[in-house]
Amino acid sequence: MTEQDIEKRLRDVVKEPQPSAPQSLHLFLRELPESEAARHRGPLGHLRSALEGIPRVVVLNPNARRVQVAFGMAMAIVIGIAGAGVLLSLRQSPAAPMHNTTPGNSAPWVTPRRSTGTHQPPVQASLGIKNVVCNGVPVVENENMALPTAAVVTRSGTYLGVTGGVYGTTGLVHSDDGIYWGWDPPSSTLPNASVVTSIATDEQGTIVVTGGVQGVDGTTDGRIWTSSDDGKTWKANSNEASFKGVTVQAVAYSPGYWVALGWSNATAADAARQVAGWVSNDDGKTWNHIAPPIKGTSALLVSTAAGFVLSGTPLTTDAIDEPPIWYSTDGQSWTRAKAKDNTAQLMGPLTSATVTGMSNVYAVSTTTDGTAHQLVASKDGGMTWATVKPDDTMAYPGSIAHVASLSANDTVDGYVELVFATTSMGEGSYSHVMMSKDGGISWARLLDTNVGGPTGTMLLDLGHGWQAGTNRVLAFGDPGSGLGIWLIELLSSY
Amino acid sequence: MEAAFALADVRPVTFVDLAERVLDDAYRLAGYLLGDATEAEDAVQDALTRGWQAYSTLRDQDRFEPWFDRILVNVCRDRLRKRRGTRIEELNDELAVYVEDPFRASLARNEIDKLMHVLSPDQRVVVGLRFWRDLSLQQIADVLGVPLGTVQSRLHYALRALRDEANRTARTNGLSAEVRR
Repeated sequence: MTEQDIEKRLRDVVKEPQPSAPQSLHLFLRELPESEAARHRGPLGHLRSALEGIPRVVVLNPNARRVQVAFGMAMAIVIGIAGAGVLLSLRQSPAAPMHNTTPGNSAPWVTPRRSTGTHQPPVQASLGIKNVVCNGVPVVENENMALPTAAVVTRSGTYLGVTGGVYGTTGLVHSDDGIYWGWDPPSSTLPNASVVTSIATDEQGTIVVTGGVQGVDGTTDGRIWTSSDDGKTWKANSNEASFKGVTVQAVAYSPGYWVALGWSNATAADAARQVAGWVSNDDGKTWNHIAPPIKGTSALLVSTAAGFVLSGTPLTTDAIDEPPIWYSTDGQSWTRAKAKDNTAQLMGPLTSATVTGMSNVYAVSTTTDGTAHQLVASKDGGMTWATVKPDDTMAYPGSIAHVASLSANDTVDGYVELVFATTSMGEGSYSHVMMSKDGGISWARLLDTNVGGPTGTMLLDLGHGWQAGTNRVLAFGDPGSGLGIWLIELLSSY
Repeated sequence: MEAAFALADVRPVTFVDLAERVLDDAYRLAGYLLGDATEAEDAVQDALTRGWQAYSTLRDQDRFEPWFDRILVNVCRDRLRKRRGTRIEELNDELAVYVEDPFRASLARNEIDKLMHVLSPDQRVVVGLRFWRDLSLQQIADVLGVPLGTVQSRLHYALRALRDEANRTARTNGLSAEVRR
């Protein structure tokens, strides 16, 4: 059977005589104005109106929804006692989520007559003529696919990413629209690959993937592969010997230079070893050693318009008044960043970072005691840093996991810079995707997800670093039945 | 007070009039998407209520049909998603009680009913709008508020999944017939 046969079967369904709407539906429609008006009369009606007037947040989990309804009823009772004045002030509260209305629309968020499920319409966050639209609960083609940890947009507009060994199966993933993803095991696309870890692209469309090849003795040697045809064919780098014994773990591109980092975590001694590094200025063909100023088995590398930002465990611990962050224009020489207001002592290594179109860098830093994660930011491309103190609209500021950003020029609002962050409740299973329009001070909640898996929900801003200004962020998480992907998109009109 | 009444009177009449015109189509779309006449009626009622409450946000009455379609498919998608979490046991043919349901019967006659379970709610909605509402891909993108590429992608994967399921079912039935012989 072919797809044409299926199409014919589908079309034939409506070639038969079609049923009409039953009389009961016509009656329901004719009585709708009166029944809806009746619902809003009397004391119960006022209570219902008050409930419907409360701005709603998106809750994708049934339990959370029940909690929300209970909370809403309790709020309505309080509002009823306090009177209409209090109701008015609550509705105009600046702490209300910014996605509840569209410009010029003062109507309350639509409330269904009966609760029919957990889905809510796409969230629109008002932003002048530009809106952020968040499509909830899409699915992936392969529900067993692991969480992508990095992705790029190819010249042809498709997405290519890696599921880099955090958990699940390592491999390359690809998508035409960001919603439906397919997965390929590493060796099916990359010559001899056994692990892939990171991906980046340059303005010419060259794509670089890092990873490693496992030898017969069980040790892994690093590899870097390049593609100049949107990922169709791959070439291993020519100087393979320089990656011996160390998996290449991270890669970034800033105009003119590629930088890669590598480390091994096979033995306890690896925690004290200096992180390996390489730089290429010939489109990824050859890679020369550099000496990053960090050690251990983790590091964070991002690119800005002017170069690179690096974070990790310092080789020495003598500079406690400086954050564990460095910047470089060429990947060879690294300068230690400064921190404002003596906040360096609060900053541990960065674990997630995003670079906006203005080269502002927002990042997640572990606190120096390692107990929490906080938002830090640099407004000069990574040279000086400060902690960002969110106000109480971010419910759980101590548990930020990932950050991403969207930025664009807007004819109404001027330059627009949106920062997204995932937070989690810690003791529970809920994870939130938050959005800030003011550099991380006040936040609106875009999504709640019921997350499973050790990494929780994560964010990818497609077109990282030199491509900053992308209009799409993907939020990944586990809605309870495999991997879920949420698309957050900046639209010019809606 | 009089003005308020006048305004209140305008909205219901217009909404009811416009909704009457699309009621049959809405019922059919919900019926095929959900494969169940009773559930379709509930879904259309939900959509009418939501539409009534949101009617003031509709700026152009000429766009009523796609606007209402969007509300309706959201309601149907909710129900399909909720249903996905519920295990549905297939009744043995001998035990099944025959119920006259026009949608279920039509899907069964065209041998589609046993295949639809492979589709996600989003895919089913796209299939429904394309083949049972006869909308173009761009019109579907407008109704759903998603990019054209997303619609193309969902339809592509949906047809492929239906084809694979049809072939798998055919192979299974062939094997069963051989075993019985």
